[in-house]
Amino acid sequence: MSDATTATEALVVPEDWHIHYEYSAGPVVGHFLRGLAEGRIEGRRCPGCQMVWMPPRGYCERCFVPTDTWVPVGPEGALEAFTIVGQKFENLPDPPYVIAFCRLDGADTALVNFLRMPLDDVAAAARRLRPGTRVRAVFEDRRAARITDFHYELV
Amino acid sequence: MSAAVRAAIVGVGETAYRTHHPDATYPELAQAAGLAALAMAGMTPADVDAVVYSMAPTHFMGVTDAQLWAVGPVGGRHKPLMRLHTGGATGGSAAEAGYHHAASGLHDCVLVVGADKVAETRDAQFILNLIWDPFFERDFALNTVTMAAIQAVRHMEQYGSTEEQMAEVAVRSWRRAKRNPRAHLRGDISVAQVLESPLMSWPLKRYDCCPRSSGAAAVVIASERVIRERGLDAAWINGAGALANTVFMGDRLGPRRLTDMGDWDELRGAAATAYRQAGITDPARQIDVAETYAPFSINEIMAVEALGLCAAGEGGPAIAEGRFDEGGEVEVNPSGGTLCANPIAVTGLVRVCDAALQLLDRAGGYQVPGAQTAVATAVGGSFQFQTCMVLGREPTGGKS
Repeated sequence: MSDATTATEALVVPEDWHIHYEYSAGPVVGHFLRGLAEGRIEGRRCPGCQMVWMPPRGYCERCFVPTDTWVPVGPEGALEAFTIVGQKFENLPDPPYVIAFCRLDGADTALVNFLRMPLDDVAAAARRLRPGTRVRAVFEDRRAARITDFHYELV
Repeated sequence: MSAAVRAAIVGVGETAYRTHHPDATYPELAQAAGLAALAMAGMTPADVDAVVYSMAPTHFMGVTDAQLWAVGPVGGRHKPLMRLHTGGATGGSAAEAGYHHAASGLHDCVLVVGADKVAETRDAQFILNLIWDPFFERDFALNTVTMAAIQAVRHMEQYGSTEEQMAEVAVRSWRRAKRNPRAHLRGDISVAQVLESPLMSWPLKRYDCCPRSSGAAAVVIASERVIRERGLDAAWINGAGALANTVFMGDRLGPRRLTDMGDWDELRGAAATAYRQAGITDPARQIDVAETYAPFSINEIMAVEALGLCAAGEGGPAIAEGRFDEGGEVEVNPSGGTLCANPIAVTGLVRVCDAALQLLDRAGGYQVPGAQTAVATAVGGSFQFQTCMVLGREPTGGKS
């Protein structure tokens, strides 16, 4: 935002970081991401409370027991919360775009992804979106076993 | 659980908050606040038994684990020193840990200190995006602005809160900050200006959002024994609560949710603990000042509701009607609050500082006359950590 101290002769030392990471997915996350590459979205069910966790987790965070079943969810679901970004943030996508938390049919929790829809008029787009609005997970043609292998669209 | 001994804040130190502090390196900034807090208490670093260092993500200022750099300058050499990090809630957690150090009876005099330089890199929101996991959530541009916007959408849907009510929060914060010489942003803005400011993330506009600030803050927390021996002025810590929740915001949505993204249930829980310790049963009547960690306008609405200063859903109308203005039953964010200065690593500590200053009659232009009880909150992570501290002019809890 505003800078109260622009008129300064202070010395500044610049530096750039570039760091490469390789994150180990482990068996549960790995199964889920490989499923995405094959066009499947699956949650994990707790044998105790029957919660279907999305994103999938290897243990139930409420019952503290291992989850034991993969459950297909979606491809349709309901919007739970969203925002429409109008500002460019460094190293993040060019606006406008919709970030949407959707609860896919069969899941008990909501999963975030981009919701692709016309955004010529942001206010009008915001009025179209309400908790409960129906959405569908749509897979990309080229997939890479990543969460970006699909996105949401309005039904 | 009650405290083994009573403890209080006897010194407060802060720098001014602004985008850059080219006048000081990072540890020099922390040192300035620490020495100022000790000076108010009539102490020197030699009087300090332990240091709690308040530092959130270090990628803003660009030195991994910056507390290492600060040990010497803040007087931590040859003393126990721990760094606390609960995201935005860091300063609240650091104050809580400092209080626990003293209230346990194991340390008589604790320095809680930290600093941040959020604008040392160009876009803090990219770094904030890195708090999310690389498999499920990081790819979707989540950051503090977008997650606050998502909360606002939920609050609007659930309670009918409006963009105008959020704008009223910003107008009031900027106006109050005119009285605070340390505030980063201040001035007279109108509801229309807020509504017409550039869209950040719907429904939040630019003036609904806090700035990226640099600055430092510190408090000295002493045991009752030291306070009586030295005859110190004290802002007594009568209650401290904290609560953590899952990072996954999607777990806080849907019919089987335990808490809702549209409510600050985590703060409600933290406040319940602090209120119980402090004997607060009717917050709106018993609390005179609330310094809430509200980096976005919607968050102040959620905070006054979660603190029980009004009913759930009434926060927007209550603020717009002026119920929490100067002279009201409770004054909320008389300093201008987080919306007018957000040095992330210490913002929660700044809330504690501003609450303590009220009880020490040292708040200057934003002093709430005769304030007896104040509350300070902090929030962090994916709005998943909340802390709440109740301070009083008189001790009400623990053993004497």
